[in-house]
Amino acid sequence: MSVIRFLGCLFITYAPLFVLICQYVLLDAKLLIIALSSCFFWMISILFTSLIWLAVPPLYETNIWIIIVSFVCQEIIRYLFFRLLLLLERTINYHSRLGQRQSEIHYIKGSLASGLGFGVGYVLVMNTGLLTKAAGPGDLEASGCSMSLFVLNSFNAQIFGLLNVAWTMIMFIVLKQYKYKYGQTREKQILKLKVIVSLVSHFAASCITMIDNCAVTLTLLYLLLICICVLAVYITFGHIKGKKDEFSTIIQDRIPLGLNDSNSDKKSKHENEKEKVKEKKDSSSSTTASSSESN
Amino acid sequence: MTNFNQLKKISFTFVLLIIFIINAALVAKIECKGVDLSDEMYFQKLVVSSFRTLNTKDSFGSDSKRNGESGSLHLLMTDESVAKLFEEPPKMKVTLITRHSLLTKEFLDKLSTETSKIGTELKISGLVLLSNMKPPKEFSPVSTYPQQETGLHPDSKYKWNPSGNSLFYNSWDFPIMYLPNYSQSVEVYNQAKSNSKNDSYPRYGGHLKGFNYAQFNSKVCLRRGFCDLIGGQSVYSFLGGGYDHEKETVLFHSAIDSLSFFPMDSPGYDSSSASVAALLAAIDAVYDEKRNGGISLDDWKSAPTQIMFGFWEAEKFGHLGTLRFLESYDQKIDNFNKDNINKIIELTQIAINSNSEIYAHIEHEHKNENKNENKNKNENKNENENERRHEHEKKDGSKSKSEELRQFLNSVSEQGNNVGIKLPKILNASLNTPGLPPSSSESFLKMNSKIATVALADFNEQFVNKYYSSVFDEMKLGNSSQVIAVSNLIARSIYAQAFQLTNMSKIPQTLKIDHDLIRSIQNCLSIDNFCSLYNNYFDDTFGYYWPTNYPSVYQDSSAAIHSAFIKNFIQLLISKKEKQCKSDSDCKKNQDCIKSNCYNTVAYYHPAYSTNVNWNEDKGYYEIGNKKNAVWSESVWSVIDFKSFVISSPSIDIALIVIGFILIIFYYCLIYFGLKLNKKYSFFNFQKN
Repeated sequence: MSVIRFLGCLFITYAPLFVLICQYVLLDAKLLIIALSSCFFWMISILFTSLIWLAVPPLYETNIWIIIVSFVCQEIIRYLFFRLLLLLERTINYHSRLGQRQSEIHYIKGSLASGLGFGVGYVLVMNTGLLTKAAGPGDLEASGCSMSLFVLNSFNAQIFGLLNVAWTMIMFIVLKQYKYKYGQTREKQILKLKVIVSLVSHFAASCITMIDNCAVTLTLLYLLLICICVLAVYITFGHIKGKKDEFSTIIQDRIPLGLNDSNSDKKSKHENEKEKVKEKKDSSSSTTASSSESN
Repeated sequence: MTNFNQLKKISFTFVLLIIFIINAALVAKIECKGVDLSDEMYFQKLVVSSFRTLNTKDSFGSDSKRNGESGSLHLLMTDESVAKLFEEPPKMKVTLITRHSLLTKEFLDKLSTETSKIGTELKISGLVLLSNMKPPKEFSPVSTYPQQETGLHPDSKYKWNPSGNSLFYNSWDFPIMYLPNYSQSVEVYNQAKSNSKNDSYPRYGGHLKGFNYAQFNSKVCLRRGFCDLIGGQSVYSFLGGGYDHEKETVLFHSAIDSLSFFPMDSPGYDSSSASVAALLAAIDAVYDEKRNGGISLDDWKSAPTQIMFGFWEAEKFGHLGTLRFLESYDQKIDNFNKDNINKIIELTQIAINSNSEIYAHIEHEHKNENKNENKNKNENKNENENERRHEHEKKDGSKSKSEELRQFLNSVSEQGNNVGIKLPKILNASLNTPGLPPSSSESFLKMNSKIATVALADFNEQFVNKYYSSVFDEMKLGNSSQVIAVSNLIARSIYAQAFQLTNMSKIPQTLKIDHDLIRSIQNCLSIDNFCSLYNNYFDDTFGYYWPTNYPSVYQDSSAAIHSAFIKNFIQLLISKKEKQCKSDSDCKKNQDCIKSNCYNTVAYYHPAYSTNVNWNEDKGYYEIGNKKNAVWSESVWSVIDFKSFVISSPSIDIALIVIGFILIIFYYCLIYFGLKLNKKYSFFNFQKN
């Protein structure tokens, strides 16, 4: 029975991440590399958290302070990885445009792979130790509820794995959007709000785990997961049915990723406007030339 | 510019990597301060197990699977619960929590039969016996005539040990363990009791592990390298420190090992520890010039009779110590002549007697066992006694040498009591016995039947110790003042024999043993292996959690703690400190390093293991010879472990795996149908490369 419990906890923990990885990451070597790199980066964030914990003895007993430290480290590393991904994306796509045999990175897939890497890293670090204990004959009741600690932790790990994917995608895409909003203050403020919502939700999720009641904790975490996932989907794809968000066109315009064949013939709106301006200039210059000639 | 920015970023990445490596190096040096969850989940208990021992024919003891087995704790305290266990077996696998009074051969055989049937409902992971229960009225796991095969009467049907149930000489394929710690026993008892109140979950379970590598018998396992010979190091010494091969020798000796069903908890108070303590305290008294009337070491050396002290190891496994000493003496002492031993006084079981009496057993001259056993004891007791008494008289009316030795002891006792020293009264043992009781002296008499031999014991016709060779053979069983009295008797007998006294009044009145010393020695040997007295003789103590005088396996270069203590005790009595040392190699030849100082060797180790084995240099293992002596070996065993924990319901475990599968399918469907919906309604353009 202990092996069955171990397998059950394993499946519960890794179900969503496993499906996402099989569907997207494993099909592309570059995405796999991105996922592994982001996992490594997440490990670095936890390493820094533990070093700070070791260095500051007052942190040993106080959960809230270590939550804060961990949250800050993870978000800083997430941002740093975003910058690295940006550099990688530009380098590869630059060479691709030069005609070298390198396929481009789809930005959304890159964000998804990064998020999956962070999620897997979290689950590996936080859950593997407990999973190995779940394979033994004994059980341990979680304090504050009558649920097994292994089961509770599996559900927690599943939620936080998915949340890490959502947070990563939100941050990466919003920061990318922010980069391309020139002088548009209101939209920038909306983007800032989205980032703040993501950060606050991360902190809130961490604090929810301190509640001493399993049912309340899991309910709140699942609600938070649904909300953040909806937000992530909305931010990622930019629109709901019938309404195209300006961002989606900007994405298509600013990132020449060759999104799909049907769009390859379409020129971006900006290019169209440029051409129109050029045509006007050309036409005005030709009119001036002809008028001068006539004169 | 672009290149410079790129370079900047790449450099940043490298700096990050270097910081990580430095931090990793720092972390590696810092001790992990995490909490192991196993400490919260599993309640580890200190147990002793009846691990596998083997002889030439068979293997004995209990065994478990390599990784052990778990089961729900099931309380088994009464005969009714035992009957119910077989009639209505529990639905789940159980770990039986029981007591010694239920540990019978019939019960264990039935348990073994029922659990090994194909399709049986009764499944057990093992047995755990608790120590917080009242001990049974009697419990002795050895035979009714211990060490009979290597004794003087191998065919006798006499029962020296009526409590013997021979449980030690059986084997079972499930682990049987004992919890010596009282508080842990209470904890396990309470956990099992809470299980017995209802069948619901969560409940307490137990995991037992005690895997033994050896199989079949000693011949096979020695060849395979899965067992080691049982044995150790006997210790012998001579009064005065030196040996004179021309003098007649009187041997005062005792067995030093003990045994139980759980060998690693063998206090053996009455069976060996008390007699060893008595003999050591007597040696201490005779060497003390203040108490022995000013006799110095040189005076002892020049005494007309040589006194030898013997402490024999592994006697409970067929007189291994004495047999090897007599048949294969290792020549540590040049010209050692065992034929000069013409008198033997042995201390066997001496502690259980509240009347200040001790029985002196001698070997009967004429062996008429059949005649005596067939007759009714009550009807013909007087006739037998007269008949047998005459057997000890020679044709010319003089008494046998053993009888004379018995008379000698009697006179020492009487004289001592007359001068106010409390000595036990010497009683002649019954003639209804085969002769000497199971004792180390039997080996000497087999070598030379003319040696005058007396074995002192607290029993007459049968053992009074109902817990002979069991975990219950503890100090609280015996009478400390009896042991002190016997020790005084031995001290005065040593003096009288050394100087061949016929008038016992010449024995100094000051010759008395140190009461505190004898109590400390008894405490160290049968209660606490980490006692303070051992600190005087060892730099580091190396005892076991529970008091045990089990010999364990023979090692050429080391000895069990009780052997080492005896040797060091005698050495420090006689020898003087020489130079400082860290090990024996820092001292001269014929010197030993004790407590960081060199001492001249005056007490000697002698190997104690079966004489029926020969070391095969080419093959690298012991081969069994052609003698009839049994070859005892102990299996190599892995960690012996018992832990209790909480078990969750199996139905919850099955539900978990079902939920896991459902979640995988759910998330797959969510993404798959999400993509299909996207294709239909074009929410986004998400193209694969």
